[in-house]
Amino acid sequence: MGSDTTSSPGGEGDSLARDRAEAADVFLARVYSKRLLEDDLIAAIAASARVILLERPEVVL
Amino acid sequence: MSDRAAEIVSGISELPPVPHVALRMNQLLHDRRATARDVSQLLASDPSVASNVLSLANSAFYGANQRVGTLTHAVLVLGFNTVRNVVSASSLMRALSSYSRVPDEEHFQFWRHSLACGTLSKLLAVRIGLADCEELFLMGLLHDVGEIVLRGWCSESAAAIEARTDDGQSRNEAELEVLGTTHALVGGALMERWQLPAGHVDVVRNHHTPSLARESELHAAIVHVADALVYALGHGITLQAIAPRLDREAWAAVGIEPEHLTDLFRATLAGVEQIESFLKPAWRGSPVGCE
Repeated sequence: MGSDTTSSPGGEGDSLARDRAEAADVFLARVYSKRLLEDDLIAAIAASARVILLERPEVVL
Repeated sequence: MSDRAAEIVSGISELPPVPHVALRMNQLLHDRRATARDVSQLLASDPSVASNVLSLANSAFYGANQRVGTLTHAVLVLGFNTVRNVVSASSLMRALSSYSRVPDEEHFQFWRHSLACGTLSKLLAVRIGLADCEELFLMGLLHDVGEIVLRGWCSESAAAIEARTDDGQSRNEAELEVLGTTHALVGGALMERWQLPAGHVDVVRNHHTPSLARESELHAAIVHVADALVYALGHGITLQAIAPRLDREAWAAVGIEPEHLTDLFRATLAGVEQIESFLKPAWRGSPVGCE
């Protein structure tokens, strides 16, 4: 799935952003299953949802 | 399969009856002589429903641009059909909550899923330009009522169904194998018992098989797509649930461009936040994280 939206490398914010991105990816891989994420449409849905999940990390953290 | 669903529903004596206010509202709206005052008098007989209608008439989700202080004004602002759907939504979800046998946390997750699906179904209907987008809200809201029946009254089958879905089988197939019917068909049977319109029953029955819908394939397609999408927002039927398979014909019929998905997701969450406090049923306990 998509690339991380991180700030300064190595910083606390960077680590938090990485954690959130990882949690979002794990969540989406479970909801749509890894196999389905290889499908273009499901991957597009997951990528859009990922943007929202990074804005609202409380959903998956 | 439908017979088996009807058998399950008719065999449960303590299922919620159709709330009086919802039944009477349907009758009233079929009466051409009914006035906004008649509808507001009926609403006033149920303070909880009356409060929901007033709150919604003043909410951004329904485009409020003036203060609505009376029930008659609310009926005029929202329109008869919207009021009927709000009344059905709030009274049926409240009845379901009070009869539900599933733990509060689980019921709360079900309710959030239903609300998100109803909200996104309405947003998709608006995008397509359907005249009856309010109906889509109610169809989306009620699409999974059969789940509450199966989880509450056929709970001994839940483990066998979960085991099959964990192995990659679709929920529909797993339910058919284990129960001889599906939550969608059971939901349809319950809605028939509630005397909801045939079109609503048809959509709920076919929300996983939209091409089989007899009354409105497009409505079933919208609810099907909305159902599959809201899982991505953390609004699945349970927190651990896997999203249902997406029917490509239904997706094509609804016509969402992938680049619009993020905006649709944002609008869905905003819509849920705007209306959830109005339609939230009273919980029997206080589920963690629900208040």
